[in-house]
Amino acid sequence: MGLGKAERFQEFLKRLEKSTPASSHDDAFKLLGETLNQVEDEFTNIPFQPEHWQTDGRMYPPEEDNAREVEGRSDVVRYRHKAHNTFIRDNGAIEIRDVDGKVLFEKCGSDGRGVDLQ
Amino acid sequence: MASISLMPIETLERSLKERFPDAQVVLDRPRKASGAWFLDIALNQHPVIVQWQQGKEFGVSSSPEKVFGEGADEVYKDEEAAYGRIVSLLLSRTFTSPPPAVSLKELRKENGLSQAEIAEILERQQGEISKIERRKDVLVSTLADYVRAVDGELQIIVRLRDGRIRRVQLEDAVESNPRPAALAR
Repeated sequence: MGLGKAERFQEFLKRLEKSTPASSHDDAFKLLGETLNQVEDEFTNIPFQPEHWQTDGRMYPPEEDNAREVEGRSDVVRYRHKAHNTFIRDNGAIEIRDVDGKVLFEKCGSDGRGVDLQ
Repeated sequence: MASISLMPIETLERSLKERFPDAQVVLDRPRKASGAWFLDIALNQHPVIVQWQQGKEFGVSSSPEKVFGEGADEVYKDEEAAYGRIVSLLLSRTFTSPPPAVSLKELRKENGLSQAEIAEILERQQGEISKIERRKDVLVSTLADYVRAVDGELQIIVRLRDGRIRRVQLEDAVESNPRPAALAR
């Protein structure tokens, strides 16, 4: 218990990387949520309260309310966070970028293909 | 002609574009109008991010850090208050203050300190530290000493309804004994 946010984020990415690739958007969405919540439950005392609008120190996974279309890519959904975008493709591939476009994480779907954004 | 009803964040977008014609103001719309909207503003490369959703407040954030999955640093009940704060942030090029709610006990543990160590720094009994951590009301001076013992600085921040932020300096504030160098980490 007691890791800082940066360390917890790296732990989240490490566990995502090691996990079995997802085969659909819904599986990937669920994988992201479960993995991040496991890390936060393990390393913080902050309860899971996604209804809170203001930051409470806990990291929250993408939610349906944050979904956006991606122009020209009907197979990809973008989930917006304050400072990041999480892309999920219908083959289960995941990509996380910061709002400046820097790629922080990439994981292929079970078919071996990534999100493959331009 | 039918009138177009704008979402409050769309009204905020228009107001900011009018106030800051040289700023980059980009509205990030959700897939469903009932979802979470984001307004990304940058003036001379100083960023401010606004979050809004029907039934919720305006979230305002400006930070050099990019932390994954966080909510807004500050929240404002209405568009007017949010606008005031955004203008203040853009003009002063300052950042918002996220208030992670932690107890004194969590603050101490985050910094790897025991009650016994805090007690030694403050020259008090461990039992007193335990009581301080469990109280709902503490003297500001006691809180300031505790925060200094975890190598921090207590600031009292007041957020006014119109978006102004002020740091309160109490009358006759006296610097308590500094953290002993022997316990510096």
